[in-house]
Amino acid sequence: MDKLLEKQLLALVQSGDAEAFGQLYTAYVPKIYRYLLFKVATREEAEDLSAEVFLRAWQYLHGQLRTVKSLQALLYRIAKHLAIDYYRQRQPPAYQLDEAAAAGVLDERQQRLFEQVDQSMTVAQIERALRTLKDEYREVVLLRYVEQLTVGEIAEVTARSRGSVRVMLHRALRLLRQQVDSHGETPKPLHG
Amino acid sequence: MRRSQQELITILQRLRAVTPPTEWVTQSRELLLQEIRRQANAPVPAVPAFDRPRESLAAGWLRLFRQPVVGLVAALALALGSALTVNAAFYSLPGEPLYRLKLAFERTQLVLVSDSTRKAELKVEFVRNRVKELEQLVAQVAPGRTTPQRVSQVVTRFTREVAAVRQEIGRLPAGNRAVFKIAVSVDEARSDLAAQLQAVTQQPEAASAEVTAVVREALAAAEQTSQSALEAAIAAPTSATSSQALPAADVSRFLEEKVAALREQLASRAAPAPPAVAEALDAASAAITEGAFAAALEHLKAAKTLLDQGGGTPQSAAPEANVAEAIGTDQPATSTADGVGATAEFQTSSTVEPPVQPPTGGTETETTQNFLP
Repeated sequence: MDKLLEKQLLALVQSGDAEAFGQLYTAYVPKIYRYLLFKVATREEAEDLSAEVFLRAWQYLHGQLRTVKSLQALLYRIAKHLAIDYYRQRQPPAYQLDEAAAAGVLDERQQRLFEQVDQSMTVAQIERALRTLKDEYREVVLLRYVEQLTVGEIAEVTARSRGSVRVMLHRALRLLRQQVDSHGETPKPLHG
Repeated sequence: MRRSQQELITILQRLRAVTPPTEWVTQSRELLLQEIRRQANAPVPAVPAFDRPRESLAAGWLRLFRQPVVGLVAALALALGSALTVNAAFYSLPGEPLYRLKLAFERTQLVLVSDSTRKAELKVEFVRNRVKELEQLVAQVAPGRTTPQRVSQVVTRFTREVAAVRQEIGRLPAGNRAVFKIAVSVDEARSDLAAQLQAVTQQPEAASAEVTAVVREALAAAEQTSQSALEAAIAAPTSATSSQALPAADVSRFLEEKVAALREQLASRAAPAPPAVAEALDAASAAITEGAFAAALEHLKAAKTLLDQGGGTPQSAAPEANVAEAIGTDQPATSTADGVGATAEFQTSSTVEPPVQPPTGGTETETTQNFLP
């Protein structure tokens, strides 16, 4: 989204314009959804958390006189914290719905992912390899190469220095290469 | 084959093609905008009068509960460009293509509501949706459509959602009226569920050991939730404002109906029950008259426990009979004030969960504050 347009829409949002917020939602929801999809177990949870990100963003912006330098960074930070809450609050369900469905949840997400991308083994390897990475490494890789954030923007989202982000990117790519290049073996978690 | 860093990056970039489902984006956008407009212009919801007879009281509450959904359905129809699609989704059942959309619609509504009372009310609405689904399953005449699996799916989801209501009760403010509304609504849902399940037993192809197990769980969960809500409503400090105060007359009537249902159950038993049961019911009635609702509830629980310990219904090998036993259909459906469900009043269950504790931390609030510059 054009930066000037975004600034104009943000000003409208702060004065209570819901339609302006709707435009921002349409522009950013694919990014936030993708970000969360790699953090949670199911597509449904990614959808729910994505919706909550935008509701919280609205509540943060509406009626306030804050200057928001980067809406993108704000949205990713909200998403990051919601994901942290998600991990903390996740409890085994009191009533098991369907064990077969529950066991197949990750596979279903993986399958849907591949339907949207392609059926090649390389993408499958990447997705599996990403899951083996430590969350902070996976996060910087996705933000940089999938969401195309700059190093500076990633630093802002993750509350790290640019130097730290560069080092993490380098290490993460090296680890990914090791995983992808291992011939058909089931990737072992590299970091807990 | 070793891959270069650039090759790896190129493959990573392909993941950009992953996008959320278009239907979900449209639906959630409209729900989000509805909610933020509502928050900006929220009128104070009309409190239904509590001096109406119970039937119209329930209808009034259901109308109140349905209002947000009606508005949201209209918005969704506009967004999807097809009221037919929305209607089809709304009436879809487990196993049908649009059922997933229906559940996603419910989930998104819940996510976009921040007010805890409204969240609880929405969750009760979803519980009632499960009962309606069961009603539709029962009404489907074609053999093979109402399978044990589909019944089990709906009932299991009912159980999960009624447990979610119970969790939400712990977060509600001390608004006695709202919590009492929830208690009554869940109790009605339980009664309706029991009535539908009785109909299921008439279709042997729909009843099975699996259905029996989930039925027991569902009715126990609903009973527990209604009880928890009632305890919370009665235990909460009396609000100074009349609009939120506990409606004493309605609570009395509700509890008296419980007493009457247990008395009928007691009277219809073949084997005599311990005298302590009648004594407990008398004590409950006296407590209700005095306005001591918490004490009345304790006496009712004691009476039910004694009744259950006094000997249950005979065991039967046939699945439909097991289902009937689970929902207490050893009595004619019209013999009690609450219908079939009355015999499942205040059942103790092995699936009883510990009392819901209100959240002690402000995790979500802290999280929201963390991203402030």
